[in-house]
Amino acid sequence: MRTWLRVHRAAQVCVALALTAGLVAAAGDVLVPVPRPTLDDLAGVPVALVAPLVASSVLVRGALAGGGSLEAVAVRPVLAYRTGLVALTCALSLVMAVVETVPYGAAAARNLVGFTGLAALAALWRRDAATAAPAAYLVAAMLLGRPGAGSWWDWPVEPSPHPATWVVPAACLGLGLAAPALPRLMPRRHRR
Amino acid sequence: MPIRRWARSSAAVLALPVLTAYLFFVMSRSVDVLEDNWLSATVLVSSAAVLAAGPVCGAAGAWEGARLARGGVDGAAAVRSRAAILAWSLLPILVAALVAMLGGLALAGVAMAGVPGLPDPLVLAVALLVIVAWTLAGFAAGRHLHPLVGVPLLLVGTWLWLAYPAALETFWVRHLTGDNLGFCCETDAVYDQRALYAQAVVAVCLAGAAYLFWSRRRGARLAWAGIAGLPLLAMAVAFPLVRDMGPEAQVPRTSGLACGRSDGVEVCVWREREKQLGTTALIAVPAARRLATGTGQPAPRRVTEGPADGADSWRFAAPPGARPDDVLFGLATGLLPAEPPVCGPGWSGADAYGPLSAWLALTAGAGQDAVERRTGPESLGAARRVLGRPPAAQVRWFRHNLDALRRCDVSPSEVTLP
Repeated sequence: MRTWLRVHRAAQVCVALALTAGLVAAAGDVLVPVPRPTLDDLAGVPVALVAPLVASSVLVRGALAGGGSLEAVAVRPVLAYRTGLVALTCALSLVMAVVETVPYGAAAARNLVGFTGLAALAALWRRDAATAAPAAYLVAAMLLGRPGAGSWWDWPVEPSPHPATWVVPAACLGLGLAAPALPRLMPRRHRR
Repeated sequence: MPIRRWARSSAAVLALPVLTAYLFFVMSRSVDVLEDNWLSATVLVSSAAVLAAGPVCGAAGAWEGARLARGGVDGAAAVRSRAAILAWSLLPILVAALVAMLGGLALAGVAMAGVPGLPDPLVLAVALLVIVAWTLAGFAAGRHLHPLVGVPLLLVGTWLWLAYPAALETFWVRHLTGDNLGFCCETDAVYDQRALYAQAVVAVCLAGAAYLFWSRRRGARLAWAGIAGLPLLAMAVAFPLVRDMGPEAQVPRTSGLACGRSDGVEVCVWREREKQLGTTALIAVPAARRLATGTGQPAPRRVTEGPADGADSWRFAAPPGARPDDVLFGLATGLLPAEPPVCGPGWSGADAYGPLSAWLALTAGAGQDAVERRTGPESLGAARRVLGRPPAAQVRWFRHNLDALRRCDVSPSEVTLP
């Protein structure tokens, strides 16, 4: 297990998570200006909503590290380990958001879940470009989203942790984690 | 490698549509409110290009850098120089940025149709330099970071560096990034070259440090010295250039006037507005004579959109779409001090500004409705009351209240209605 944790960069994931939590606590409410379609529409995105992208990237990098062919034939349940690492880290971020009540803490935890879920889904298509998907989604939400308007899709820039904004991130993470396990749960065909 | 395969395998193929869409999105909000000069269009294009291409090219650089690292460039036997290897990977990304920038220029060209002049090549060159620097930074990061981390890190990190300084109260930082806030300059202003030089210095040093970081070999102390020294050099050179600058990187324009004579008075407008010179002169010269008579001052020998001393030369503005009343109002209020004196609390001189503006504009010949819209009904009422007096009394009232605007020890007189 220790070797697996080392190969999958568990220490780096912990450090990234701690640094992100520190950044959210220290400067999470700092607004970064973003361009909008009209000059009158001045808007900014809190740093707390953007910072989880880096922590999510480190987490996904850790989860997808390791020799794919070696792990495919491993005796140990490495897929469960990987799913556990991602789920545990996301759960930890939620616990931190609940315990450490800082502005945008819950929204930051939601974004970590959502970014990780999007990356997990994108990894089904291409593993080495998985984190480009949440990054592109974040930029699109920053440019086109309307925080506070109640849209279901622009959750990355929604400062409020309203339950409705959790639907897509939670669904992405659930699907992203479940999808690799589905083929193993299917009944196997025996070759003749 | 065949050219088509080489281009197709580059991250630029994905980067080009993304950064083009981003660039046009950033530009679309501002292109309709451009000033009537090419500098404002150039700055808008360069700013949008840097904001769009900087992060995207940085991320693409991180991807390509990781590809080169995965390909074993570091350890393999060299058949070509490291600079050549880097250039072949860098080129498609820069071409993508250049294509997007040219598209932005074409859009700006449509908006600036009929305005004389050309894009400022120096502003565009510095923007390209900034994009190159961030792309190289991406390559340097990609040498050690897996694309899973490098791509989002460069995308978000570069975007933060470009966008966040605009929200800072410390103004000098924003002049180093190359973002330029998307705006500069009104037609009576030009870009402050100090900001441009500072951005170029920062970009060159970043590019140099990034190249050294990417190309260094094991144990190369000189490379490490460069990597550590170049950022320090950038700050040492760039910081003094922008330290004293305000929120915007513009300074008053002093050249580029087109002049003509009308009724013995020289009339000058910015060369972009040369077509309106005759019309403007027909409005401004008689108004200047009326103002000179009304205020008891000698008539100016020159009315100009450029620098003026307020005695021999008076200043006005005739931007496109300005109505005659706007030109008259600008000429009239040009006789008032541009800034209030530095007085302690309790200074009441500012109360004179509205009535004096209204009186000067009415004296110049502006319509009452236009004056009321700009100064308010109370100022207009006070001005009309003064206009009912003999000319000598009006001159005394004007000079006294002008003193109240310039000095701390003079109070305004008769600037409110009884």
